Amino acid sequence: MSAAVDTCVDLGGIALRNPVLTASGTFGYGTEFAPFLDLTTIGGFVAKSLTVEPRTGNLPNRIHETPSGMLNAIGLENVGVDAFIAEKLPEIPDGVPVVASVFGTAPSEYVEVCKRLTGVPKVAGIEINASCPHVKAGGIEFGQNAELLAGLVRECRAATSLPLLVKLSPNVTRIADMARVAEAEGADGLAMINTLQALDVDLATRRPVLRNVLGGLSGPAILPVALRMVWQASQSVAIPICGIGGISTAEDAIKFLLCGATAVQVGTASYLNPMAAGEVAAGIEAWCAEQGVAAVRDLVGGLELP
Amino acid sequence: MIEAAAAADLQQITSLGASSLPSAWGLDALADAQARHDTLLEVVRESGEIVGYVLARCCAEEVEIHEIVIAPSRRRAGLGSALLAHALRAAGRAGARSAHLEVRANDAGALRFYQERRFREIGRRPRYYRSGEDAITMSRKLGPVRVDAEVVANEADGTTGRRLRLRVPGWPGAEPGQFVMLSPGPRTRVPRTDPLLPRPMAVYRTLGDGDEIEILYKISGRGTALLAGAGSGDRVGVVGPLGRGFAPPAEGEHALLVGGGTGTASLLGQAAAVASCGQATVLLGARTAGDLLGLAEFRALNVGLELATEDGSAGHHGFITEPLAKALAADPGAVVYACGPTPMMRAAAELAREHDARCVVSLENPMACGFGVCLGCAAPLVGGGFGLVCRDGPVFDASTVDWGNLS
Ligand SMILES: Cc1cc2nc3c(=O)[nH]c(=O)nc-3n(C[C@H](O)[C@H](O)[C@H](O)COP(=O)(O)OP(=O)(O)OC[C@H]3O[C@@H](n4cnc5c(N)ncnc54)[C@H](O)[C@@H]3O)c2cc1C
Ligand SMILES: Cc1cc2nc3c(=O)[nH]c(=O)nc-3n(C[C@H](O)[C@H](O)[C@H](O)COP(=O)(O)O)c2cc1C
Ligand code: FES
Repeated sequence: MSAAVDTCVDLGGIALRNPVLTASGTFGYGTEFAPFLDLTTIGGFVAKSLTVEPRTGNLPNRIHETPSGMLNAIGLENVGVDAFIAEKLPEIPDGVPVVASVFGTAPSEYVEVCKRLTGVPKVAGIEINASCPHVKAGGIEFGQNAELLAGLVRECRAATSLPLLVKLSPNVTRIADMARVAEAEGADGLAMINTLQALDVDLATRRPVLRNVLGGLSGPAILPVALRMVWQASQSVAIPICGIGGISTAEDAIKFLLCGATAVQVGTASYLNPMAAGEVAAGIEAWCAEQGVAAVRDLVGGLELP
Repeated sequence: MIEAAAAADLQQITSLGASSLPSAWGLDALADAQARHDTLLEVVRESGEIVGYVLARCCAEEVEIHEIVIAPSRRRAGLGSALLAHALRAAGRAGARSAHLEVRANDAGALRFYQERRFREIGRRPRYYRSGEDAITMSRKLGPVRVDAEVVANEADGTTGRRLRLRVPGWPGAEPGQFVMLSPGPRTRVPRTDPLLPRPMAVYRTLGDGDEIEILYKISGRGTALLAGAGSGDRVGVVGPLGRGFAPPAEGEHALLVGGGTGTASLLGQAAAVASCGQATVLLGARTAGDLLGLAEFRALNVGLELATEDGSAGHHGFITEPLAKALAADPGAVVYACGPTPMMRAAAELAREHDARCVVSLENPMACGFGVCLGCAAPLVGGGFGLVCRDGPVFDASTVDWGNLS
């Protein structure tokens, strides 16, 4: 390795050895991957979204395969923030930045989880999952309403000194507006996109394939939509963006970097190949070496427009 | 309940050890070991009394099992199995990739215990014990692997079933009832995106030198059609072995193993295990004679075999649960193992309940990951909450499953 590639990036105050994280809900609490993946070969991981209390999820069916993608409606199932801190974190090797994803059904619940995570060793940052329905506001997602989103980010910002990423819902008309709201309220970075709201039908029974009726679409099918949204958001804010959506190869990830993402998250691809995130990280480095790119961060926003 | 030993437990552990093993560790050695981070000393406590313990040490990527001791009055209750599984899981989490141990060459019971749990003999230490007895060293690999397996053979077997034989480098061996996630097609730089998800399939049996597995499957959709197109020399992505399989059968157990359709594939290993220490009757059902899978392998076992087809083309004319009801009436103490379509498993569970018999089922829920991260395979349990079919199962005690909400 003559000209080593500098793969380090700074994601809103979270120092990463390389730009590849894994997406919330697709990487468990990190421990499940021990047999397959050396966590120190990836930038870090985002744990399954946590609530104040443990929660169980929806009745089956919770998942369904679609063309180049899948639908899911898991339903907020998680061990709760306290069990995460007491039982899961100690099993994570040192030197692996852990981003804790947070959600609740009211801003006060988000705030409580943020507080309990602040100051806990190994927790390098917080990601606010804004794709959760606000119960008091009639079940509309925080991320779908600019005022709800502003209030949520403001309260979480005040509750923690940790780097704060806001994960945006893609189920909105103008993503750039939501990106600006999050930035204005003090987010250190954005993570996008969460799953696209979707529906599929079982013709034999004429019923929705999921018990929850609606689900979230993820996987390669959503990659072009995610790229578009990351690009639009990156045109509107100065804070760094973590690109998510259908990434399964280094090439996919590099497209996100060119569209303005500082780092990326690998999601559904880890199901098919639990080593996917490590391979994407290694692949980006190899691609840069081959292309004569000295530092991965030099790629960020390098999209050549016609 | 298995838990870490406390300092106050050491005295009790030493006397339990001394009463069972001529060369058990003394109090001082145990206290030294327990103070170290790499030592695992866990106990089973029953009404305050320690009735079993495991002592193991992790070293880099290996775990050495030093002692597993169960109080004489509590043997044959599965505690040894539970302690070993617990220690291996903990070691796996700590990064161990293989487990090692020594057994007295004359201790046939212990040798069999470890052989049944996938330990293989790797050497012999002459006159290793003070008594002059030899030690047999045994080892096994831990945890699932993710590899590109090579297709050795993949063909129809004269029924509607197909046999896929895979060479899986580093295959750690599977317990009866465990499964793999299969992604057909070579893993190229650009992975296939459609169909996207890997397919869960039971490990039907292990072949070759223990590094080949056979999958018994049917074409039922896009993924299995793609799998059927893989020719010898092609690659198939394998993640496994996954899940918790069947617990080893009790000595002298009577078992009724009920398979429907491709569910039959999950039962062969357990049928063989029961046949080796008790009495097994295998009841296989399908729509028509050509859909009865795996008959050759079940016939080769020392088991009773009963068949049923919905069109009457082989065996009993009707559902397999009808012969099951008769068999249960004749042998109410039998354990029922069932795998097949959900209505069949549900009916088997109901029949077992009526006869006060224990029923164990292997569930087949749709899966995305197979190793406990997507939470997509959750099965509702009685009393609320869920079990993950891929991690807590696929094998469940039927009385714990909330059948009404399963699908
Ligand atoms: C633990 C376990 C062990 C299994 N062992 C075997 C086996 O040894 N032999 C065998 O032939 N089949 C087995 N199955 C069922 C097998 O996984 C399905 O037949 C297969 O996934 C169908 O894929 P497809 O592409 O043909 O169907 P499609 O209808 O195209 O599949 C669409 C989606 O639904 C899922 N799906 C469809 N049917 C099932 C099913 N019955 N169970 C779970 N997921 C399903 C697929 O995985 C895929 O995600 C097992 C299932 C589980 C959960
Ligand atoms: C089964 C499943 C569960 C998910 N759970 C969460 C979650 O708890 N919190 C969250 O912020 N995103 C969750 N996501 C969304 C992913 O983090 C990611 O944003 C999305 O899947 C798009 O990326 P992908 O196409 O690479 O999977 C989940 C996705 C899937 C498929
Ligand atoms: S299949 Fe993903 S958790 Fe069970």
